[in-house]
Amino acid sequence: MRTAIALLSGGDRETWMTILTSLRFSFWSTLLSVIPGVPLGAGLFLARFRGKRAVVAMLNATMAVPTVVVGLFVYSFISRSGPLGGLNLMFAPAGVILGQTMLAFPLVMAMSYTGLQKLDPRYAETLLTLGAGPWHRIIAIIREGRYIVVQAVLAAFGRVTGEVGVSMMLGGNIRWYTRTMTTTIALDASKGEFERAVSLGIVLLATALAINFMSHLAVRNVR
Amino acid sequence: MSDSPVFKVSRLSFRYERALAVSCEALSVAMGEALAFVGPNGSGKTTMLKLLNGILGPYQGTIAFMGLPLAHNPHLRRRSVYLHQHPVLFSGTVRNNLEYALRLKHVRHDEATIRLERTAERFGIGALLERDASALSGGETQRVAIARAVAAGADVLLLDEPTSSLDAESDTAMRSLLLELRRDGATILFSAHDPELVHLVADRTINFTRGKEIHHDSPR
Repeated sequence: MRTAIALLSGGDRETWMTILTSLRFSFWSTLLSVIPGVPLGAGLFLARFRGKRAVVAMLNATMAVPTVVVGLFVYSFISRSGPLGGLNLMFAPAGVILGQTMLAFPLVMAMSYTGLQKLDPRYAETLLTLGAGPWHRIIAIIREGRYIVVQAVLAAFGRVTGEVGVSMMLGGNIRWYTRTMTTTIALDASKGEFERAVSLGIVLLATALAINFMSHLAVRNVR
Repeated sequence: MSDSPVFKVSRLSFRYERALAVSCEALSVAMGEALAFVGPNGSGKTTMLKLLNGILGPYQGTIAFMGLPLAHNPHLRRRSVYLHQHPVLFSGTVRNNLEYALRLKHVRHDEATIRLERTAERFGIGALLERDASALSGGETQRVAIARAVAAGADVLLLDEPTSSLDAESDTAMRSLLLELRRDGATILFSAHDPELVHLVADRTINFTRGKEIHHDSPR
């Protein structure tokens, strides 16, 4: 444990590089999933159409898909023989980010949709009666439910930071390049080397606690 | 179009799940008319107001606004607004709320500024403009919500129990405001339990019963 803490406090280059790589991937994949996920979740919340329940059920089901399955799905697209094989995304940061985005997107969309249902229904009706078009309604409802949306974003960040399947399968766990906190822990633990694994575990735990705390603050602000 | 009634309803029926919520054989509302929907709680008054504003659907029968069916009606959102019993204002100041409504109607910035100032003066909300909308009293919220609708060009107001949650002072102010809006030619459809308010403001009353059927018009 002492060695693990020393790796963090002593500024061990490889440990910190792994942490920063992880956070960089998480940041970009969260951002890329939020840009379509939040408006689509809000749009689904506002929309009235036949078969909406089935769409919501499917969306909720996609949240439970194991990370390795998402990894496999993206793998089939970006591997050399896949339709996006020419883009050289495999075993590269962009490949991991793409995979994590696919992982986070349904979560962001579903949580936005579910969360916005807590919002007073009069907001949506008032926007409609005032003549707001679909896009204006989506923007306004996101604005009114911004704390709910923050929760969805934080949950997505937590999900991609803690996942291992996508990073391992699409990133290949390449040292100094695509190695993340979770893939390092998996590799080091399998070799019986626990110091760095424990230090990264502490960071993951701290990240999870920080996300939980911020999410709690966001909930307090929901009207 | 000018001769068309504001609303013309024919053989309307609307169900929540399978339960009949509103049934109306025929209803016609002329421009500038004030109509009160009266009846016990749960008799379909609010549902009818929402149906007329295109908030609820689908329904059977026809509802025409300014001579055209509600679906894709270009006049509906430009000229009519439904206000909840407890209206909601959006985050930000009262000014933000009025500006937002004007922006939705694509009113040019300079014209919006003039309209906003005029509306504030007309509705006596000048002192409220910079206040946080969430900090207003029930009466102030009602007044601002109506001001927001009128500023955005609405002259057909569908009001759900506009005075039911107000204190005595706000109630009196709201009655004056409704009379003033009537004098200015607005078409007002409102639900109410207060016979005094109905007598004061309405030209006609429409009776709703627990059986959901709208029985008859009562001339004032």
